[in-house]
Amino acid sequence: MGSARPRDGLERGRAVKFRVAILDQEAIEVDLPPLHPGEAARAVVGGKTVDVALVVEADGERALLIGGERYAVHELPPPSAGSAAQGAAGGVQGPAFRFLHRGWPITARVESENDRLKARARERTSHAGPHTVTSPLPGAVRRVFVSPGAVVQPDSPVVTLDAMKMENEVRADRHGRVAEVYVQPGQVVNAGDRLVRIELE
Amino acid sequence: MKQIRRILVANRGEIAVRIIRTARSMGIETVAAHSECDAGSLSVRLADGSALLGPAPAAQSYLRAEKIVAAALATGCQAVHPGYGFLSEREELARAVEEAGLVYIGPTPENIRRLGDKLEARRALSAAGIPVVPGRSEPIRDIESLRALATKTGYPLLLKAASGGGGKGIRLVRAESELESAFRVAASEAKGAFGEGAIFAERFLERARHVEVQVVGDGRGGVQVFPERDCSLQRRYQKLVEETPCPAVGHAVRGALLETAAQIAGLARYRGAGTIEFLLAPGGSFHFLEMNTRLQVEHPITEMVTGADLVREQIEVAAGKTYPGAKPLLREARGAAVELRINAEDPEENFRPSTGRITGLRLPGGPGVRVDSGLSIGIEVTPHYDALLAKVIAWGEDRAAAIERLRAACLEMRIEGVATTLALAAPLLADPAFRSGDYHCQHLEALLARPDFFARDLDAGDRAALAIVAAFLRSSGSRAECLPASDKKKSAPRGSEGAGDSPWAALGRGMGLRGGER
Repeated sequence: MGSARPRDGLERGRAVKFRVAILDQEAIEVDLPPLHPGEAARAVVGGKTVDVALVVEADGERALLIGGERYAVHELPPPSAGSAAQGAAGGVQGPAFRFLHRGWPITARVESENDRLKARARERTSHAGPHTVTSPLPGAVRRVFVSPGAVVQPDSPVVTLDAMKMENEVRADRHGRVAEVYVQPGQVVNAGDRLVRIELE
Repeated sequence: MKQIRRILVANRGEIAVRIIRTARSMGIETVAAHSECDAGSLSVRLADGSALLGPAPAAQSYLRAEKIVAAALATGCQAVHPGYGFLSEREELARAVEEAGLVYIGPTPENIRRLGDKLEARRALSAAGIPVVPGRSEPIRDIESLRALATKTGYPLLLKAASGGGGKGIRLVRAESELESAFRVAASEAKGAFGEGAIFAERFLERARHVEVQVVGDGRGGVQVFPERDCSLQRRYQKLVEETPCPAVGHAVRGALLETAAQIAGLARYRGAGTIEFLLAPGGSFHFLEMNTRLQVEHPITEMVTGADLVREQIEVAAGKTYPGAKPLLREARGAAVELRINAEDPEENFRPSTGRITGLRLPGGPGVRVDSGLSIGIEVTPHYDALLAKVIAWGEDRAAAIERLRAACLEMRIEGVATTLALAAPLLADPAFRSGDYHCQHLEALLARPDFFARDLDAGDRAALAIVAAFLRSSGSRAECLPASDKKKSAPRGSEGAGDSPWAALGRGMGLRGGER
């Protein structure tokens, strides 16, 4: 099913992109590197860079220092499947987390790039008619496998993308004929950008 | 006076800890009676000795009177304290303890039989001229007699289990069309919970408050009476927040309430601590509801405003102390106190019970703040017992100060590993009706039903920071996510650190040892 297989890149220091919806409000983009106690790190949140540090006390209590402010990590068990929090909030697809912030319970849904891929794969298979294959993640186009007029099957490779040091194959998700190719090798694309359009035969 | 040097505490959790503390302050030793799964609990650690009652299910441990008596005798105790819940309101335990020649720290078996039986109490007090909630004082076993009663009293009507309490077997009937199915459900719940399907019916009073009066009797007619508590903030007849004094009670109503309570306790020659519950109608009239013949969960708020130690009072009257004079002794209150119950229930998920290991814990403190808790880090919250984990109590010179202290204390408190009603503190204590004191028994349920009850305005800065916290939980920091529910049930051997929860494991995950998502 998965048309590309990226890793979430937990290599030390490398930021991972997330989309976060808090209390069903619109999504916020967060680039967060893996955090190690006592090491300064930088996150990008909503386009702004901020210093982040993880504090782990001897008894296991945790806090994040965000721009110098202390945010206790007071985690609650995640909401159960079927509870209100489990619907896609703000177009965000990943699992939900809960924590207390200054006494108030906060539910946040967090989508990683992997979730986005899976969601798109689901979306693609559920739609009929002319169809556009979009980029599941930001990256550089390495190869383009198809040209207009080519017949593709579900799972036929369409392009490969370089992202996070990994080569990610994007595949067609249905049978059809390529009507248009929007990208060429070397081109940089964002998540959601059009790659090719497939007409149903 | 009987000599009590050692007490068997036949209970668990925060109330067992509470009893041990007072006993210790009186120079009395304690033995914690416990089930297998409570062997490492705080009360066992604090007590001078311990006695295993049996396996985890209460029916094989805390509900076995003969095992409790045998444990008391075997460990050299002179007295048994039942706490609340379990056998605390069963004549059976009081009688078994006394027949073994031990002191029962609670009411006499006769007190329990006469006052603990709701219908018997209704009949006796009604006959003595005390107002009871309109209804019927006979057990109802068939739908025809219930229908006949309903025609007389009208709707809404409350059906209750004739024997029992704790919110079980209670059904509200608003119209005749609901009567038959409500009767069936109430009767079958009553049968399941208390082994007896009989119910009784009372007129349901709209917008009434639950107000109760703490008494301690010496068993010879001498009574101490304490200022009233308001326990109207309930969900499904389970109290969640209690306060004293009741913000809706003025001087005249207070006088009448306390006098009525003293009269009831005096009439019964009540011995020990007990609570007389009333429904207070909006106009200030009140009706007797029931008497709880035991110490209550919310007793600390009374202690905070009076300076009394109710467990000490219990032990003293059990040992034979009597109160001088014929008049009831009224205990003076100073300031106000509020309590929030911390239950292992998920308020965002319809109060679903939440079980698991306590992985993070911080108990609050400060002036006027008291925490009664049986919690310690690493213990397992199991489905075997009541969900009550702890109580946070705050005292202030006035009601507003007490509420602010409670709010601050709840902000300081931390419990990780299970979902609790701590998450209710901020939204509930910010509720304008609660803050004004103008609320009633149906208020909390209406409040919880609001879709925006937990909703909160966050500014952009907070939203950005919380997005980072959430991304951190997703990337490596979540402890909940990596402990599936099935693993949580397996408890680690005592003394060993739960590997999944240690700071070291968290650190390992932070370093990416857990790998990418799958």
